[in-house]
Amino acid sequence: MKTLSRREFLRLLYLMGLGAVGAGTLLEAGCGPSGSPATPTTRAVGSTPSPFPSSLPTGTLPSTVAPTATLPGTATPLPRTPTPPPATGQAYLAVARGGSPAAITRAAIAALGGIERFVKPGNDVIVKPNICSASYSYEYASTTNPEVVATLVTLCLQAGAKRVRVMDSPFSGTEATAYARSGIDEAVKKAGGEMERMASMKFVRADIPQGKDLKNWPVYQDILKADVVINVPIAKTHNRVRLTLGMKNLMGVVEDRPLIHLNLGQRLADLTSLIRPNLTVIDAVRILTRGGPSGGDLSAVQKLDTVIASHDIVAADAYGATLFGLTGDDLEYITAGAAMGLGQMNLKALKIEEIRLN
Amino acid sequence: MTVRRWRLLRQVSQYLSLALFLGLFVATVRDVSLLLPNDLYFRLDPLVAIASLLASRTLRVELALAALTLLLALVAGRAWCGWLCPLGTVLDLLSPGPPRQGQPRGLPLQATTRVAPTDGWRRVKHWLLFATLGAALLGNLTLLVADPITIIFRTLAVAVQPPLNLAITNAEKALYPLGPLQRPLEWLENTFRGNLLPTQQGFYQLNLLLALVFVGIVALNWLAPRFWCRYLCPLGALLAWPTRLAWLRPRAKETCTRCGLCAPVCPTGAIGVSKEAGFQVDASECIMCLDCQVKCPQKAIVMRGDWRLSPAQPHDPTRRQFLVSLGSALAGVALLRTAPTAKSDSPWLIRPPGARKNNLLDKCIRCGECMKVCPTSGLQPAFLESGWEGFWTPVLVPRLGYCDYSCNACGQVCPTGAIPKLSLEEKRQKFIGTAFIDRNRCIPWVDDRNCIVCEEMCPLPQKAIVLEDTEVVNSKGERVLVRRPKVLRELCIGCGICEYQCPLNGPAAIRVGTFYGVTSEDYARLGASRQEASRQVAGSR
Repeated sequence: MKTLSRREFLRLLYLMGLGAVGAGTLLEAGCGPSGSPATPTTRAVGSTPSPFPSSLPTGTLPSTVAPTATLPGTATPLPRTPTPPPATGQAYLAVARGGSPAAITRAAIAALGGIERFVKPGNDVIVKPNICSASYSYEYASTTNPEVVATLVTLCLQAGAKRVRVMDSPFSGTEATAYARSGIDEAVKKAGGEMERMASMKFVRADIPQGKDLKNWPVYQDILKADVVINVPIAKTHNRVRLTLGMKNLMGVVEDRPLIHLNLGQRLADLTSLIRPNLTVIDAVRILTRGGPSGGDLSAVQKLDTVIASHDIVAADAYGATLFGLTGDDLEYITAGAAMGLGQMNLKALKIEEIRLN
Repeated sequence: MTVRRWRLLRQVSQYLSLALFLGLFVATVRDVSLLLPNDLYFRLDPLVAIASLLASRTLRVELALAALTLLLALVAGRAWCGWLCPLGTVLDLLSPGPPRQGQPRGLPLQATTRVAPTDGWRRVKHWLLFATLGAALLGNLTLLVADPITIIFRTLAVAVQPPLNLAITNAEKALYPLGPLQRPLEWLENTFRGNLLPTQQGFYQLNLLLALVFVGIVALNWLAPRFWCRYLCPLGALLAWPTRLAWLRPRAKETCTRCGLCAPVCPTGAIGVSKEAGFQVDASECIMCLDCQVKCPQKAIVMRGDWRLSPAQPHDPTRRQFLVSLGSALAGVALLRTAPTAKSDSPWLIRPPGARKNNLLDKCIRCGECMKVCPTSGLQPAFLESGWEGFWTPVLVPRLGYCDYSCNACGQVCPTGAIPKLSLEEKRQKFIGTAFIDRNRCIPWVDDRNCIVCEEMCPLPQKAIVLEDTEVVNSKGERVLVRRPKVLRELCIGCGICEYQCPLNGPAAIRVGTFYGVTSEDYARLGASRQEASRQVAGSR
C-alpha cells in the first residue's frame, strides 16, 4: 500500500467523515428508537398510520429519536397562535341553515365578520377538510362536502391570500384516490386552490408545552408555519369518542395515529393546544348518524343543510354535538379542551347567530 | 449499412427495450390506464404463453403476441435475447469489462474436440424448459419463477423499488430541514411520488432472498459472460428450437482466414474456430449481438441463411434427456402435491379477491405485477403458505398491507387472469378471509381500556366489528365501561385493515385468516349465508 501524503490523508479523513455523517443520518432516519426498521416515528412514506408502535400508551416517544433535531434550521416549531375572540357585539359562533352548501358557508363566515377577519392579503392559508378514506363519495357523509371546501378556498383567495392549500392524510386509500373520490380535488382546483400531498419529509417533532398527556408529537410542519389554518370537519359519529368534529379532525395532520387512540380525549385536547386552527367550519350539510367515521350506509346519512363556524374550536364542537342530541359534557375532548382554556363549551354564555336562508 | 451500424442498432434496441420495460413497470399503478398493456413483455414471452396455456387449458387472446416472438426466432434466431430481453440487457450492463489484451473471453466452443464439460451444461436450460412444460401439463407453473421476464419484474417490484424508495425518502427527510433544498425536494415529491416512487413504503417478506437470487444471476457473469443465457434460461432454450431453422444465422464466407479473433468476443461462447474445421458456430446459442461481425478483420461473417436445419451439437439434448426432464417434472409435481400444505391450505393463506375460486395455481405465472400494483404492499410473495407449489405466488399479509376497500388494481394488471378482473363493486363482495380477535392480547379485553381502532377502520357499510359495552372493575378498582370488539364473521370480507391498524406491537390482536372456509358456499354449509346474516344484523339495529 503506498504511503499517503499529509494532504491526501487529510482529504481522505474529511471524505470518510462526510460519508459517516451521511450514512449515520440515513441509518438513523431509517431505524427508530428500538433499532428495528419499522418503527412509526420515522417510517418513510405513509399515507396511513403505521402499525408498529415502538411503545404503548406513554405520551412521549423515547427521546433518543430526533432525526431532524441535529441539523441546522430544525428547532422544534412553536404552537400556533389562536385567533382572538370577535369584537363585542359580533357573533362568537354562527350557524347557517337552509341553503346550498356554498350559500350557507358564505352566510356563516359573513356573520363572523367576514373572511377578512381571518385572512389578510399575502397570507399562506391551509384548509384542512376531512378526507379520511377513498372508499365512498361525499354523499355518504364520511368526507367533507366539496362545495363547502371550495367556497372557503374562493373566499380566501378573494381576501388576497397568496396561496390556499387543501390537504389531509387518509387512513385508508392513497391520497390521490381519496382526493378524487371525495370530489374535493376537482372542486378545489376549479376554485383556484392547490391540493397537497402530505409528504413524510415534512413531519417534524413538535413540543406541546400545554400538553397534559402528550408533550411532543410528530406534526406536519407546514400546518404550524402557515399564516391561517381553516379546519373543515364533517360531523360524524365515532365509537370511541362518540362524535368526530373539529378537534378529532386535527388528527389528519399528525403521525402515529393509532397511539393517539389510547387516552384519545385528553390527547385531542393536547393536539388542539398545539395546532390552534384560526377558524373551524363544521360541515353539517350531511351528517353521519351511525357507522362513523368510515360510513358507507346511506340510510345513516341525515341531510341537515347546516354549517357551523367559529374561531373557537371547542365552541364549534360543543354546538356540533347538539345536532346529535348531545352536549359538550358528553364529549371527553370538549371537557378536556375547555379545562385547558382552549375555548368555551358553555353555549348559553356565547353570542350565537343563527341564520336561516330559505 | 455497415456492421458497426447494425451493432449500434442492436445496442440502441436493447436500451430502448429496457427503457420501455422499466417505463411499463413504473407506470403500473392503480387506477391509471396506459397506452400499452402493462404486461406487454409477459404477452411477448412465449414460455409464459405456452406454459400457462398448457396449465390452465385456456386459450387467451393475449397469447397472440407471443407468437410474434416465435416468428422472430424463426426469422432471426435468438435475436430476442440479444436485442429485446430486458434481463439480457441488464446482464450485459452488469458484466465484467471486455477481455484484457491476450486474455480469452468466455469459454469458446471446441468444434473438433470432445465437448468440454462446461458446454455440456448448456443442456441444463433445456432440462429446465422441458421440466417447466412437463409440469405445466400437470397444471403446475412453479418453475415459471425461472422465466427471465418474471425474474426481473419480480425483483424490481420486491427488492429494488421499495429499498430505493426508502433511501430516497429518508434522504428527503434528512435534507428537508436544510432550507435551500426545500423547493427542489418538494418538486421531487410532486413529480415522482405516485409513479417512480410509490405512494406508500412497501415492506416485503423474502425480499432478501429475491435480491440474492438476482445478484447471484448477475454474479454468474463473472464465471462466463451471459452465464444465465447460456446455461440456465428456459426462455432461451425455447427460442433455441425455432432458431435451428432460422433464416438469419451466422456463417463465414470463404474470405475467412481462421484467425480465431471472433471466438473470444462471442458473449455466449457460440463460436469455435480451428485450423482444420474453420469457423463453427452453434446458431442456437447465438444471440445475434453482431460483435463477431464487427471484430472480424476480413468482414467475413455474415448473417444469411437458408432453411436448412442447423447441424447437431454435442451438447444438444438427446431424446433420453428430454424424457428425463419430463420424468423429473412428473416426480417433482407429485412430490410437491404430497406435502402437508397440499392436503389442506394454511389458514394464513389469503389470496387476492376472486383468485381462490379461480384456481390460481395453474394460472399464476409468478410475475409480481399484482405485488407491484398493490398500493399497500399487502400482496406478498408467498413462502410456504400454499406449499412449495405456490412459492412466490401472491398472498395477502394484512400486517404488512391491507386490501384497500377502494381498490381493485390487482385483477386489472394480472396478465393471465389468475386474479380475475373485477369491478370495484364485485371486488367488494369477494370474501378472502375472516378476522378473529385474540382476547388474550386485545387491549379492551385484557387491560379494560378502550381502543376500538379495528372497529373504526372497518370499511364496510355494515361494519363487521361491533362493540359490546361491558361494565368491569379495572385494575385500579374502578367501575368502568369498556367497549370490547367482536367480529361478525358472516359480514367480514377479510380485507385486513383491522389487523394492519391494530396498535399492538408484534402480531395484532385481531388477525385475518381462512379458518372457516372461504366462499359464500362454505358459509352456506355452515348454516349462515352472507345476505341473510347482513339482513339480520340490519334488522337488529
